[in-house]
Amino acid sequence: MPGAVPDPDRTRVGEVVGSSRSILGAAKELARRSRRLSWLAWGFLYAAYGGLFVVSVLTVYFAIQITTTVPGGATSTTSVPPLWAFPLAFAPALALLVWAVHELFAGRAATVAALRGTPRPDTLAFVASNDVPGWTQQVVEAQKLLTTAKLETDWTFLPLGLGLLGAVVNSVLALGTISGDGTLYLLVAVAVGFGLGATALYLLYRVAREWIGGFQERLDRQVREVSALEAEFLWRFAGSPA
Amino acid sequence: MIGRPDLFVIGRLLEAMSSAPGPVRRTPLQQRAGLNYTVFLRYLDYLVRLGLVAATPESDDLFALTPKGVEAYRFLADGLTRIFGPVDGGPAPRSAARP
Repeated sequence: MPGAVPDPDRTRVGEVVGSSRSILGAAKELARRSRRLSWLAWGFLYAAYGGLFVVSVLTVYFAIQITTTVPGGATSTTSVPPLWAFPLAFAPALALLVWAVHELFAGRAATVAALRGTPRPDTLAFVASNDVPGWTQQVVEAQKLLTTAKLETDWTFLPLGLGLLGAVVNSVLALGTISGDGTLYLLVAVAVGFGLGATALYLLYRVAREWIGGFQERLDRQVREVSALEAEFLWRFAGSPA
Repeated sequence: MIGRPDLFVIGRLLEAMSSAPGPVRRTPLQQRAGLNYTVFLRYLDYLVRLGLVAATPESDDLFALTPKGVEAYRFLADGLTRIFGPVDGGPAPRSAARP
């Protein structure tokens, strides 16, 4: 019965072609993730500064009065926000930051998986349709998506940086509330906060570069190799290189 | 007339013929390859001119791979697998496929 026993020599070109189609699918996925990352980063920025606003509002309604006595015997009273106001106000920002970082790492992992050569279900449906764009057209589209995603991801670090600045300000305020006094501690907190924030940003930027750069590199390599294969095929079977 | 032929379209046509149990008519072949009919006809004509595909003596509407076509199919399959990697669940070595 034909087809009952699979021919082990039959390499499934159709499915290999399907996997090549996944380049455009993977580029679209990368662009989607990059867009989502951008939204999350801007959301984080607004949430971080919105958190500062919330802290201010909570200070008005739930202020803790701290009375200090200066050496001369005079007393001064200051209002500080309650300690619980900080985690409450900054929980959304923290959640968005964690989500954005997760998205970045998930994007990198998904890109590697998508380009490994296994056709994905949506890719197979794509191959079966009558309207399959040619390889060159797909590569051009993928390149465009990559350029946009690269730019978008670069700009993502602006809100992330500004948001982290807000987080540092928040930490300083929280520390000031805990310690009650101590300018030196606050200065150290600011320095450490900026240092940690800058390092975290740099590491995240490296991941983003690796994510998009890695995809770009693989795409370029595949384009070169397909081009070489095409030339060799035409030379061997059509008698001319083009 | 084809300017620069798309290797993937050629691959799909050769694959469609290779996986068929015997010679195939135009319409089923087009459906197997999943190509637009106009594009399909253009590529079929191209493959016939290259001698990779030929109509059978029985009918002008029945097409099969020639030995050169089989060679071209293997060449493309190997090349694309080399570039894009093996397909999960794809062809296994002969000893593993036939216990």
